[in-house]
Order: sequence, then structure tokens, then C-alpha cells
Amino acid sequence: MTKTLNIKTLIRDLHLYTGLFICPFVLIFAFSTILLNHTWKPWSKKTKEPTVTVPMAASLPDSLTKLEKVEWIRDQIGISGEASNLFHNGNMINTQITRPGEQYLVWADVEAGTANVTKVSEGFWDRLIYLHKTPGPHLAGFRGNWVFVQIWRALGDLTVALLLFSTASGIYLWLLIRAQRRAGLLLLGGGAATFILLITLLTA
Amino acid sequence: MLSTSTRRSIDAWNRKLHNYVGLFLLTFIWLFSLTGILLNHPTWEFTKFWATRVETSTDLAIRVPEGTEQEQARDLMSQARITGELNRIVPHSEDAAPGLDVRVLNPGRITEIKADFSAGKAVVKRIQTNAVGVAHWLHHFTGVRMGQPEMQRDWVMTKVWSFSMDAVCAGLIFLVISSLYMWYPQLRKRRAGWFALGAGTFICGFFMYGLSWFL
Repeated sequence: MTKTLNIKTLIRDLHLYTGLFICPFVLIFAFSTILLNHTWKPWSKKTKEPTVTVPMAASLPDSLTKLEKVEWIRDQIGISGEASNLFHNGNMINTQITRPGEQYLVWADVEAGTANVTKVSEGFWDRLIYLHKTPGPHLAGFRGNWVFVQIWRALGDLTVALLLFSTASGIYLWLLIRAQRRAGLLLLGGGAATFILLITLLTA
Repeated sequence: MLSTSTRRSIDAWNRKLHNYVGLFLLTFIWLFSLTGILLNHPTWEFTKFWATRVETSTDLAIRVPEGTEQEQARDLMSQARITGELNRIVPHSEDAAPGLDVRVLNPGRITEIKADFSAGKAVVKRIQTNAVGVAHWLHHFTGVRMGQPEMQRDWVMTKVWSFSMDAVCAGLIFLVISSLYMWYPQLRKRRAGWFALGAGTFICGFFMYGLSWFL
């Protein structure tokens, strides 16, 4: 009896504290989903600053991989962020360095040793959307080229793991409440049936 | 100020609704969580669904559709017995034979109809991905895209699915608020709760603003 009580208390506490920890993550993903689902950004502000020319000290070493070129260009212009892509054609390197709320559009002339950099600042909602979509499924092997995006990716996984734990522990705690068992089962079954019906109709 | 009985009643309903909303949305939450992991790790071998896609192609005799391009596309879909989200309509250029190319999307499947009106024929190409592809697609099957206002949801099931996404988000926001409501009055758990909530808020705040302020 005491053992059951202890396990119940432990699971209840873990359910509470893991839930509280992931609250802000869940809010970021939930609000940004609504925005993406309605292509809607209220009070969206995007300001483009004048282009500045930055000198680059070193010349581009030969035979660098795409990721090494990203590293090199970030060092040269002194901007930290995730490169969303990189194009190298002749002397010109074009890339976009991004972080929540900011984009840097970079056109570097490796022969002349200069880079034109344009900063675009974005608003609150863009930050939410950026975090929701980063690093994302595209350009596998290239995206996630910034350490903070790698950390955010791990935090995304952690959020999912803790959310799954919250659902599992939530089921355990619900099953202990006899008075809510029937209604809960009906809702659980109703939700699962709705889900299966929707998937069937969408993929038929 | 609320009376004790009203307060108790609100507490009881809040707890009940927290459980019931969570249970109803359980399968949806699992889907969006697990597919989030899929999208987060495109280099994992089993997530590479595109390489294992199956492509089939069939010829179809058609009657020439009439009306606007949208109506013609719908007619072609109906003749080919296809339902799904109309993604793209491209009329043939003037120097080519008159016709229409139509792309229809379902989660995990792309169907392309290339109709040649003068020959009264169409080629229907179907690209089907595996279950991972279907799950992957369900995560972002909204029928619209930020920055592309011309894209509109035109299939009833896309509308229903995007509504269910909103419902899941609203449900999650409710779960967050109701959990805060249940936690805060528990004096014994307030300090540890603040620590957990504060840690999450600090990390999210750092990623939202700290990265651009400090780096």
C-alpha cells in the first residue's frame, strides 16, 4: 500500500514538474502552429537595414567542403548563426546566416576580399516560427551547422520525450481515479476513433 | 472574491477537463510529437522515405473539361477518380498541344495528371511513399504556405485536418493553463515548480531573444 502510494506520489510529482518545464516549449510550438496553419503574422515587422561592406582578411582556402565554407565565411564576417544554404559560383559566395529574429544576407567576393552584408530584423512571431521550423527536414546533413541549432534540435527531442512521459504518466494517474474512468475511456476512444477516421479519409 | 464552494467546483472542473482534454487529444499529440522527431532528424536512415517511394503511371481516356482552369482541374480529378488537395494547375504553353497539368496532394501521395485535350487522353502518375512518408506529411499537411497567399485550402479534408491542428494547439494551451492553475495553490510544491517552470522559460527566452542579443 505504502509502495503504491510512493510510486503514485513520485509519478504525480514527475508529471507536474516535467509538465511545468515543457510549458514554454509547448506554447512556442502551439502558437507557431496556429500561425503557420493560417499563414498569419499579426503585427509582423520586418526591417531591412542598409547593406554594409565588410573586409575579409584571409583568402578562401582551396578544397573546402560546403560546411567548412560556412565556417570560414562566418569567421570572416564575424556573424554567428545558422547558414540556411550556401552557393559558391566563381569568386562569389552567397549565403544567408539566420538566428531567431535576424537574417543576414551575405554576398562575399573572395577574390576582392569583401563581403556585402544586409541585416533583416524580424518580429516576435517570426522568432516563434523560426524556432518551430528549425532545423527542419530540408538539406539534411547541411542544416544544423550552428551549435545553437544543434542544441535546439536536442531540446526539441527532449520536449517530445517529456511530452510523451507526461501523456503516459497522465494515463496512469487518470486510471487511479475510478470516478473518471468511464468518461475518460469514452473520450480516449472517441479521440482515437476520430484520429483513425481522419487519417483514413485523408489517405484513401 | 469567490466563495469556497465555487472555488472547489472550479478546481474540480479544471482537474476533470485537464484529464478529459488530454485523453481526447492523446493520439493527435502522439502523432505530432513523434513526427516532430522525424522532421528533426532527416539524416536518420528510416526517415528517408522518398528513396523508397513507388511510382505508377496509367493512361486514361478523357472528355475535354470546360470552365475555368480550376473547374477543368476538378473535372479531370473527377474523371480520374482522385480526391485530395489541389496543389498546382499548369496550362500547357501556346506552342504545345492544348491541355492541363494538375498536381493533387494527399498525405504521403502525389498524383499528377497530364492531360492532352487534343488527343482526349491523360497520363496519371502516382507517387506513393511509405508509412513514414505519410506520417511526415501529416505533420504539415495544411494546404497553405507562409508567404504564398495564392495557395488556398480547397479540399474539405484539408480544412478538417487543419482545424484539428488548431484544436490540438488550443487543447495544449488549455492543458498548460490548467496545469499552472492546479500547481500554484500547492504551497509545498511551489518552489520546485517555479524552478522547473523558470528553467524552461529561461531556455526558451534565451533561444527567442538571447541568441540575437548576446551573439
